[in-house]
Amino acid sequence: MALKDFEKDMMRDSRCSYCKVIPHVMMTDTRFIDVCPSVARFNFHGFSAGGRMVAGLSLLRNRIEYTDGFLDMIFQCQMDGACDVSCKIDRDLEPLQVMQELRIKCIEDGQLIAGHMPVLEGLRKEDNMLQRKKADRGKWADGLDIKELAGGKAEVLFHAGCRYSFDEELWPTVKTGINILKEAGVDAAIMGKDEACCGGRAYEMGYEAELIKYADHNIQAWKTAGVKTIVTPCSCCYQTFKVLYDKIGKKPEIEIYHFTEYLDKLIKEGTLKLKKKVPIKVTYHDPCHLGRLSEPWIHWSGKEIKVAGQMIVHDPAKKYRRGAEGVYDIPRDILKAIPGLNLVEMYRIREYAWCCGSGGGVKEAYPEFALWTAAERLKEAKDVGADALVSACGWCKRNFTDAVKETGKKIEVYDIVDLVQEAL
Amino acid sequence: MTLSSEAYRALEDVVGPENISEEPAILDGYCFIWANEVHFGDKFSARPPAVVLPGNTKEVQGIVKVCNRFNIKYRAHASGWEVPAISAKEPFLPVDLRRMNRILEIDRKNKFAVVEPYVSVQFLLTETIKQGLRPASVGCGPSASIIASSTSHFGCGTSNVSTDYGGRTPLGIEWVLPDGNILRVGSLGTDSGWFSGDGPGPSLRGIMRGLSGPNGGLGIITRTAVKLTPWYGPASIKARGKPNLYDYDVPENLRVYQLIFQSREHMTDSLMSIVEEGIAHGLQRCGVAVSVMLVTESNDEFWDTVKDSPPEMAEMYKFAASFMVDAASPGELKYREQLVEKLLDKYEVMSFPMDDKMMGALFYNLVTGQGTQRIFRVSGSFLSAVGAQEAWDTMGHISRRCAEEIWAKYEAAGKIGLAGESPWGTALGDWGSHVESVCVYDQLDPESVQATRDVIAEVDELLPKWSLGMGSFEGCLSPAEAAQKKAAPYCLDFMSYEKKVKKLFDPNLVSESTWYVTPDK
Ligand SMILES: Cc1cc2nc3c(=O)[nH]c(=O)nc-3n(C[C@H](O)[C@H](O)[C@H](O)COP(=O)(O)OP(=O)(O)OC[C@H]3O[C@@H](n4cnc5c(N)ncnc54)[C@H](O)[C@@H]3O)c2cc1C
Repeated sequence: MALKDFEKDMMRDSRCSYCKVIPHVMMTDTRFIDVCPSVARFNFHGFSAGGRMVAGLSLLRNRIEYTDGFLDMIFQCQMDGACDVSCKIDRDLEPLQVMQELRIKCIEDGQLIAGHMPVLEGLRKEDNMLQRKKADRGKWADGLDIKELAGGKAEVLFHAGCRYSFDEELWPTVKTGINILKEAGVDAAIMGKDEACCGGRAYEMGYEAELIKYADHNIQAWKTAGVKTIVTPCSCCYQTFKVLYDKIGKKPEIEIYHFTEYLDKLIKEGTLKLKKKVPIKVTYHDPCHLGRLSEPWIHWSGKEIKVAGQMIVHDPAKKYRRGAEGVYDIPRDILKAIPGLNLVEMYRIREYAWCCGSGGGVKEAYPEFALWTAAERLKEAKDVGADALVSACGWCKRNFTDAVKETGKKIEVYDIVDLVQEAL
Repeated sequence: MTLSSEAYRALEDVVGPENISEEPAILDGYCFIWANEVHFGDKFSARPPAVVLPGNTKEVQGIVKVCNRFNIKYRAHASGWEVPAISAKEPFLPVDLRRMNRILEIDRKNKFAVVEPYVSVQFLLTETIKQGLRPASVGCGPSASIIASSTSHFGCGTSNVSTDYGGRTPLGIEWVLPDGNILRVGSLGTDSGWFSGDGPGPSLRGIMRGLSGPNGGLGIITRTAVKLTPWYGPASIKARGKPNLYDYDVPENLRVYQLIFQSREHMTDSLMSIVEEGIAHGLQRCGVAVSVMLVTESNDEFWDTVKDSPPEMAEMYKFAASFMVDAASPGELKYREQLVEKLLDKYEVMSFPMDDKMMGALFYNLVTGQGTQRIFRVSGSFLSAVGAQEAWDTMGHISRRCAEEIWAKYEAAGKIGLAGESPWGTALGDWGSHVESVCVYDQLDPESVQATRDVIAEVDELLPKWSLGMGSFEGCLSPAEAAQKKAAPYCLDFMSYEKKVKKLFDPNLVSESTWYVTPDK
């Protein structure tokens, strides 16, 4: 697909602005109804999904030219997909896909974002998004008794992802993950220095070729290693493997689990017993890539037809991804299974959750905006009385942790795995 | 129109550099809107020279003063979903009121709330139901600005039978006049608070909006107090399940009905009786198809549900309405339910059987108008012609004649859809109805767009001639002044008064007036 394939969607945008807020019926506190960090921060209509649909059409019609202002408007956005959910309450449009194709077009036309360049160079050279040496990728697992695939075979592969592999502060989470798997008797392995980026974040930044490249590479590597199951604590990798590879026609014939799904399985089977009390009041932040964006891809090909005069229907009938089928209950079930833990919900949750701020290349190119977005979430977490904010993604944890430092807010930030470890 | 660098700097001084832009990609977001293709032949109307985002009344006033000084045409908007918010033949400066989004006060005892322009129906409802009160709803749904619909553009909605419509809801008003002076309307003008819309002397509310509002052509309203009505439901509305078909729980003290009438006359009589009894929370004339639309995920599912219905069924469901009663106590609810049964018996009305899903969807639709947006889902765009306020029987006849004498041929040719005599309408307090004859068209199909233009031209031509004793055609005809001028001999010439108001209040003619009036030269 290309931007021009979505021309009808852009033309059919009505300018309703539903994309700016959570679904109306879910509003319970008017301080927390915005759902799009971009328009909430920058205010002009262009910073919303609706505004970007208009910009896409303008670009196709040569009404506008590339300028720094235009590029900022397109890229100061986490691509978190909340707009897509709100839009699709009443419409059958694809704003998130329009925004994705718009970015791809910008990159194809040579319009590069300065803040993304070092990251992309690093990715191309070292196969990771953190501008670190490929050779250091497996260091987080030093000292752990874990099988490292080096040409060997394993059925269950633990894929740490770039963020957990190189962000030392997050290492305890992945180390814990491995220990839990071992304790549960799961014969898992890691790829160590041979693990590569999933390509998902680069794709969000508009680099489609990188997604294709890493899909091909990873799928081949897993095949060679005989991998049947992948478990990853990173929500972004999870969404990339499960959804984006499928979207580009490269669905791996492998079971993909987010670590929370695997934990849940182990808890529900009785293999993992959460016994120790963890007396803490937490709120759960749905990572966009584990929640709405992880809804399975729906392939459709067919044509639009008109019935009853002008009504548009599809042959064959078309189903839309509306964000409902993400992983929402499982992390909550795990938290509820921890003795003594008190889970309170924020105002914007599940498919209409507010983003942590780091996705879409924002953390890399617009760090202040990333922190502003996270700080908004911290306010919400404090408002519901939580002592800690729990997430299930390294990117979320990093950005929240940075925002806590920046704002001085008194709130703990956990990965869900950390809390499970405390309860074991 | 372009802005001189001096004018740009003057505006920037008022709002700050973050809140003004002349980036073309941003500006295109302020000249693109549904139906532009019908009115201007393209999805984009004239690109504005810049856009500003004021944060308070002082900044609004500052902008307006700069506009008067540099002869810049400006127009304000809230959500900017209505065509008159965004589009115009000539460029103008959009004043996007998005940053003015606070509820300033909820006076529970005196049942009013004071809001800024970006506060929407859902926004205010969310906070007022916590205190047992609710604002009037607007037909387009929960995103509508309270101020836009009570001061500037129509303001008719599903719950108006109990709340009255936008023209009756504003109390004290803070109004930045077209020349930049501030006028405080009603009790606010004598520093007596927000509680009354009329102060000493003649009512300025009429000048400020009249029946259907000046569509941004008469300055900028910065704060308004609006009336609130008792809410007998819980402190928050509960929805469950998955998007886009959430399940709504109908609160204990509310009952939802889908009524099917045997004839136009039965419909008119029974709707008038329902209004007279004063028991309704919400009332909306619309076909059963609308209810089906609310509970189907997509057009595909909708079509799959209705495509095999026999044509008699569509005929049978032509005269239909959704309706909700509420009550302060179980006893009162019982009484109201019994009364409804009696009315249904008397007028031989069928109560369409509904499952919980449909009942819940209608409940939320009657409280907020949610779901109206699905009209765009059908074919991409829609036309609402003859959006008039009149007596129930007049409106019944208008929708019949429109359907038979105008829509039918275009619909038979397949150029427009969903037309026919199943319009959308609502009751306005205790004095009449608002009815729109609606059809859908496809903005990507030039023949469909042209048919829509032709429909508008025919309405402009024929409606005044049918006359039907209507006092005015305000809001019924296309906004083109020529259409209203042509209709003047058949009704009251309200426009000549509006022109005088415009001349007096907007001496420099800078409050952009494409969708209002321009004084005669
Ligand atoms: C699908 C659909 C259905 C609709 N159904 C109805 C209906 O049933 N009943 C009805 O009344 N309307 C209806 N409308 C029209 C309109 O959307 C509503 O009236 C709504 O209240 C407008 O709110 P908004 O925030 O979108 O206003 P906007 O679109 O922002 O503005 C509407 C008008 O008011 C002016 N305006 C807004 N704020 C100010 C201000 N502070 N000062 C001065 N002028 C201002 C704007 O210039 C514009 O002309 C419908 C529209 C759509 C798209």
